[in-house]
Amino acid sequence: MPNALWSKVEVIRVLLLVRNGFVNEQQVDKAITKFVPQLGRDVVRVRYEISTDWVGDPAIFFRVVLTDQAAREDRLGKVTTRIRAALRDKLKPFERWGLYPFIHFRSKSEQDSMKEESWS
Amino acid sequence: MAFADDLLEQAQHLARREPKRPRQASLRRAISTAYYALFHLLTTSAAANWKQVGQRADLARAFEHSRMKDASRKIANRQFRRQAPAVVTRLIAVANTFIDLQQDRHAADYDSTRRWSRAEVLGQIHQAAIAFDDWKAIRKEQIAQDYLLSLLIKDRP
Repeated sequence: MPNALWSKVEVIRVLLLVRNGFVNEQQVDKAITKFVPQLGRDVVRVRYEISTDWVGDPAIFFRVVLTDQAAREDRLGKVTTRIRAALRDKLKPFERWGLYPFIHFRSKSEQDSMKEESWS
Repeated sequence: MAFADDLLEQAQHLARREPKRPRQASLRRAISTAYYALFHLLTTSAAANWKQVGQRADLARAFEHSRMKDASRKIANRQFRRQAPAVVTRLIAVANTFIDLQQDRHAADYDSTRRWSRAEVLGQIHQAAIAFDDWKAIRKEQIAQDYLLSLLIKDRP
């Protein structure tokens, strides 16, 4: 794991994660719950999961359900770009908790049809 | 960069292949293809710096996915000084998109429980298309060239 190739930023990040007992999930939940309304009317709800990415680095996976209007193909690009930027640059999960954000989107009608619990 | 552009177009085609009920196979291949489009855009750009044209294809095969992820994370978290903010913003966007698509590609190719929706896939492909535009705008900048090198070569201890 840790080796001389790690940058100072990564070493500091890992030390913070250890000191905090990985991350304080209550703190994360509180911050996300407070932040979500700022994403606006295009968003029906946001779910998330703290886990690791494919190489084992700490990550947070956001599942954003959009209104059908926001998920229309002529709007989807702009809407997802805006929400992605807000979650990454304003919520700052990496800087605050050392969790790299992965953000995925689904329309309300898609979720109604797919009925996946993790998106409900 | 014709091959990378073709892959991106193919990803868009796959995502829209079934107009009403998209097949998971099409959506998974669309995600994977979008990742490889960006992968090839970057590796081909790096290999193009190699003077011996006949060796470029071999050089492009030397890139490793995990190494490229590490390099992209360093870019995304690095403080750039004395660099044009617009160039930095575009480079960080490219690096973040590479990390995102690589994670998605892993899930699309290996996680059989993961289900994808068309909006989700089109959103990721849109992000890839923006990364293409960003890269084409900054590829001659020094920090973009430094990024290419970091994708291939490990940091020294």
